[in-house]
Amino acid sequence: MATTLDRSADPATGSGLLRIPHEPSWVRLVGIVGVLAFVGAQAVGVLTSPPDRDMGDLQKIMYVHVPAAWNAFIAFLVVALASIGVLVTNDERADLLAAAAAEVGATLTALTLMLGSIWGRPTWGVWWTWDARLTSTAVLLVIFVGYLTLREYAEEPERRMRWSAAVGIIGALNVPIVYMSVRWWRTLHQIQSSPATVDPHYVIGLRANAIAILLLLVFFIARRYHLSRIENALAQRAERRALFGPEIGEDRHAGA
Amino acid sequence: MSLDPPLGIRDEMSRMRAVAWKDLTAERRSKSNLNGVVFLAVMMLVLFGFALGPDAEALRSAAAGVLWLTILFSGVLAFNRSYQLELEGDALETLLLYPGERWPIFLGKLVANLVFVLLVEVVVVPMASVLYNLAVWRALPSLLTVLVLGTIGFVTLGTFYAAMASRVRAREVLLPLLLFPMLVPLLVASVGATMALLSGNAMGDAASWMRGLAAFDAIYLIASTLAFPYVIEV
Amino acid sequence: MQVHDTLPYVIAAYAVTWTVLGGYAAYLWRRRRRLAAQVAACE
Repeated sequence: MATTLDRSADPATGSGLLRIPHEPSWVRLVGIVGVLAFVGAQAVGVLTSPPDRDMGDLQKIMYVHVPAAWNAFIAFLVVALASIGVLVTNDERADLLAAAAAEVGATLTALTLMLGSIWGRPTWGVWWTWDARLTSTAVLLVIFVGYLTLREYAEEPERRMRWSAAVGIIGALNVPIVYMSVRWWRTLHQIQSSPATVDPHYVIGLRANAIAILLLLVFFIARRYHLSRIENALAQRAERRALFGPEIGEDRHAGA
Repeated sequence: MSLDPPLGIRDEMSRMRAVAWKDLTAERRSKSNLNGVVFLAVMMLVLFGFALGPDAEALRSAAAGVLWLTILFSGVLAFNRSYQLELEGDALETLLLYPGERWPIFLGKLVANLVFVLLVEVVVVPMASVLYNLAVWRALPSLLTVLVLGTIGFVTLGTFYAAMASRVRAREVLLPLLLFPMLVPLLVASVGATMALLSGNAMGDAASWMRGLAAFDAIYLIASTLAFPYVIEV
Repeated sequence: MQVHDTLPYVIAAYAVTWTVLGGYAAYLWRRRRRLAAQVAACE
């Protein structure tokens, strides 16, 4: 019946009383474990690994730089897949997931670039090299920022959802193309590539940091996603109240 | 999406031509825009000349990059304007209400923008060869091919992103922000081919860059055409 | 490469790492608190 309170109503479909979604309990757990794992992995990295014979203590920077890069690309993959999900299912939740992943991904990409620069300066004497990976990562950052800026300017929800999805997918398509063309560009100018190889000594520290940062990635994205959902539900509620007045049966003073 | 029965391919093609023609005649009537952009592009060539120093060798080695950057920065001005007609009044909604697919609208605008940017290049390339003392005659057909291939990719992406950027407040900022990172492969390949051709193409690099350009163009054209309905309808 | 040559860079790297990750965590926390207040206010 139209006047029945539908407490299981989902904000995405907008039927009945808009329920404020609750964050699942695993998110907090992942966050705590992630922080502990990260602190632990960092401690292990600082205290146990011997200085590399070539790089000295600089090797320790790789412990964060490499996992940050990996996880930035995972975030980016989430953006791409969620964007496809938006166009296929038309569900705004996929859109909010893409946006959350983009924000976290941009942060990690910026971190990757800064650490790469800090590592590069004493190693090669320059703050920046135009190698394929670093350059593609910089382009990826600009794509992320463009995506997030678009969302700022496209205020109307359906438009924002559609536009973000299109931009996300085409941006994702381009990243491998950028990488290939930059690599091609460098080989034709006969510039040697500058790989940062990882000595087997450091694999354990690297894996530990990688897992820790992955946990943090999942936590950040999940929490950011749920914050977006709550904001969305509040906004939709306010809008409906403005249009229709309080819901039938909704108690203005007690909890929903 | 339209609920009308689908139009045949010939009808869609004529819709595309109609859109291109409409945009081009509007552009022709306000000739100020093409003139303005051409003038700006030539100014850019001159400024680049001053910035990179009077040494002829330095200018010549940087020329390919300068040429393409000039084309990109001046061409960008065309894209938001190509949607301006539709933004005035409710012309866009009306256009979308007519029966037919969305891709003719996209391709029509793409063709109009392509003509516009190519016209700018007709002035810019000779100007650049004069200012930077470039040996363009040596490989003119290949050079023209590179220019056309690079411009097609550029205009494809520009027309696509402008479908969104032209309709928000900060369109002058948003279009470059969205477009420029996407142009990296095109820029790299176009400059690579141009540079190779201008310096005699000793290694035969130009051909592989051009193949790359053609591949990029195909990818961007298909992706943009498929994505266009999603962005034009909201 | 001497240890003391690279030490400032290593320290800078750690500082940047913790600032960025901690900063983002703080941003999430502030946003969550603000939202919790809003939810409590309207319920």
